[in-house]
Amino acid sequence: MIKRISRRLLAASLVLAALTQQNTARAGRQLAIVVNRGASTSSLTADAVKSYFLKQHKQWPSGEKVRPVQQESAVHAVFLSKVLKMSGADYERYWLERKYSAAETPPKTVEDGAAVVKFVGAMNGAIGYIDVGELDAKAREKLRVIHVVSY
Amino acid sequence: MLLATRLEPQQPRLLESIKGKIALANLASVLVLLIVGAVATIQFRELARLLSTVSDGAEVLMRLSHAYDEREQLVSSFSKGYGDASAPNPDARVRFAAVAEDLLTHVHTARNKFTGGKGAGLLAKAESGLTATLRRVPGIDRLGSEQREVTVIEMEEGLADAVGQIAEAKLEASRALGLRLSGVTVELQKPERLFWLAAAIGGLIAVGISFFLRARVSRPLEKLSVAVAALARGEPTPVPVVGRDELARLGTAFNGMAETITERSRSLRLVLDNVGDGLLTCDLSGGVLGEPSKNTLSWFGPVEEGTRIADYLFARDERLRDWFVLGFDQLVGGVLTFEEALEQIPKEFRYGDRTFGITFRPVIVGSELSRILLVLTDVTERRLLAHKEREARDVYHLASVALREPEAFTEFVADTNKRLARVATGSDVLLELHTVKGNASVMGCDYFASRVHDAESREVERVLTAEDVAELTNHWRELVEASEAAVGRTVNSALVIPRSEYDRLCALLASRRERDAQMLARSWSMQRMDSVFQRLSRTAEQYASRVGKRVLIESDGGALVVPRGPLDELWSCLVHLVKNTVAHGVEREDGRVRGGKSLTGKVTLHAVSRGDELSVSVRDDGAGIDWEALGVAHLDAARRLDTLTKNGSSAREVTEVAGRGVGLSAVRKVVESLGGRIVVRSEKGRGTDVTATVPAQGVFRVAEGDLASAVGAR
Repeated sequence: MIKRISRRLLAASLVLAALTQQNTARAGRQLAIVVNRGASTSSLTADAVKSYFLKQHKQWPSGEKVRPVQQESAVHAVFLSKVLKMSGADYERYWLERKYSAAETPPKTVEDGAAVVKFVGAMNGAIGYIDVGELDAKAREKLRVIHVVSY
Repeated sequence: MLLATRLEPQQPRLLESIKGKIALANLASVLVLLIVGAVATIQFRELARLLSTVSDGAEVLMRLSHAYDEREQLVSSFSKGYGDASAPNPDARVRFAAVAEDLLTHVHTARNKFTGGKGAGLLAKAESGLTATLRRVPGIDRLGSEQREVTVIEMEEGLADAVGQIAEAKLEASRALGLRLSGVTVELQKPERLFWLAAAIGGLIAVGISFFLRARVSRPLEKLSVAVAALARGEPTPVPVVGRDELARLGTAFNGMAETITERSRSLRLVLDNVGDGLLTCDLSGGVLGEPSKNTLSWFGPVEEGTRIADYLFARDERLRDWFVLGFDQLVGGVLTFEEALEQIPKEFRYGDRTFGITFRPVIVGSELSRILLVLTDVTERRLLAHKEREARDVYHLASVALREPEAFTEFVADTNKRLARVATGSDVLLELHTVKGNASVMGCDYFASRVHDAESREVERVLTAEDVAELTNHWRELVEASEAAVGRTVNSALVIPRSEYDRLCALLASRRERDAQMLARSWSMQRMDSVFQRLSRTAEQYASRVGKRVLIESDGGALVVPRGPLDELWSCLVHLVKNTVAHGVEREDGRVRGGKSLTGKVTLHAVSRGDELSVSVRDDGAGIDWEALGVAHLDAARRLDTLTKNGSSAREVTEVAGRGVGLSAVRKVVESLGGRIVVRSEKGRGTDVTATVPAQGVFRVAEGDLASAVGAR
């Protein structure tokens, strides 16, 4: 009896190890927080990024209006958990509350990384996030990376 | 009437002064109302101003809500119309232009009506932002592709900014409106407060006026009315006369009138109090009206007006009281006539040690029954005399039984003593009382029987008390003592033998025939059925003539000689059976004619001895028992007997003579207690035969003739 249980435990720990390995394999990816080239800011802490995205600060130090943009792709979930450190439900509740107390709306939403690049590249004061893999040479011309998160 | 005529001259002036005072009070109230009205007008004007700002705020909010609702249309129609340079969408462009214009109109109007706060500033920004964006629209298509893309994004952002400002302004507008509404609520409380203030002042004025009126008008009138009420109760009280106004003169007139009335009622009362009867008046709800007459008070004690008659007269007897209350309801209910209703109400009752007769007289005013006069008469003496007479008759009858048939008397007394003792211990009360009643009425003690009947009725209603039983037993003892006194000896313990028997005993002893003497003496403890049957026949005939029937009694088996023991016990049963037969078995003459029988009913008494048992049967040719009607036709004889003795009588009417059906049960009980049994054979229309069989040793048969000689011959 005891032998059988220990055998099962062994098998379970093997499976667990395999899963962990898979995670480490994906750990190489990174998320970049980007702003318009013309912005005066060169780097930001995660907290500052969070306050801009949650529209708790609505102006850059230069006085330019902050225009955060979010995307509908899978990267959004990573952004929520790694940068904003909020669950999807918390995030929704936050904006609902803001809407009724201060007529504030969530950031503009675009389809994917390419759209983010287009918007941030075009608008002064814009701030967005994309997977580092999508950051090609042409994009780097228009954007500036001010914060990077591994996941 | 008298009061009214004397009041008349004062009335107009009295009314005038009351009217003047009321007019003054009215004037004061009108003034207060005017002031209150003026203040209220000022307050309502302020309220109206506030309400107009509320209506402006509501319009602003409404327009901003419209503008806000169109935001999605604005942004989406712009993106569709201008977003893709390669596929311009003309429909979307037209829609965008229309939405943008509409939105601008709303924002512009709202900005003009927005007073105070930062809302107006926000709207101004939104308006200028929108205008600037719209101004860029015509040039979009002329731009190069890269430049165009950036411009579209910028314009989208511009629209989004404007929409954000509108949303913020809308929030601001709704807050402002809320504030103003609460202002209105506060403002509305002012008139309400004013209203309460006015009400309080009005109340104070009213109280003041009422105090004034009370002191000047109603207090004197009240004293007068109290005096009138007192006069009505028969306690004339003079009214204090103060001052010289109209009311004072009224008071003086009243005092004079009161004196006259008092004098008159005093003389009337003197007459009433000297009537031998007690008088008492009550209203239709049964409450005492006025003061009862002197006799009533001395018999039943003092009473307050309004006390219910039932509680006054019948406080000591709940049964009578309930009876009276029910009867009285009928009396005033108007369903029955007064005379019919009187049948339902007690006409005589005991109160303490006295008996009262009570009669009711309707007092009619107009054509309505207005009250009822009760006339109470002390009939104690009369009743006592009647009772004494009936008692004397009982004594006469019982004494004559004692003289004619000493044995029957002795047995009756012993049996009744035994049964009353059982009643006193509470065992088989109903059975025993019924038996005693039957025996008593056979003996002609009608009064005693009626008292036993009363006791029986009380037992049926479960209100028989130990005192009732003690009283009954006492009455019985007095009856027996009186009868014995009349006859002149104590029959109870006497053995009666004919003179010839005694002489014969002496002769036997003188000639030393001791054995024969012994036999003779022992024979005295034996009894011939003949003599039993003779007595039974006499009883049955007397009884039949009392109930108006004709019977012929035949007997068979009279030559049997039976020890006294079993016969003594059986005697009362036989009396009962014979009585039952005459009362229920034998039909009346008309019934017999219908049944095709002779007019005279035939009753046969029969005795037979088998082994150590003696059977005595009572048979008639009467109506028989309707087993079908009793629903026991299918049962065997034993079950039928159970039904007859358990479920009570099959007689429809309970009379004093017979009827509760406990008769046969009593007989069965006695016979079974002797170790015997009862058999009832009956056929509807043909007759009934009840046979009682008991154990009896030493029964023998003799030839016709005298018992003693038979004994002597052995």
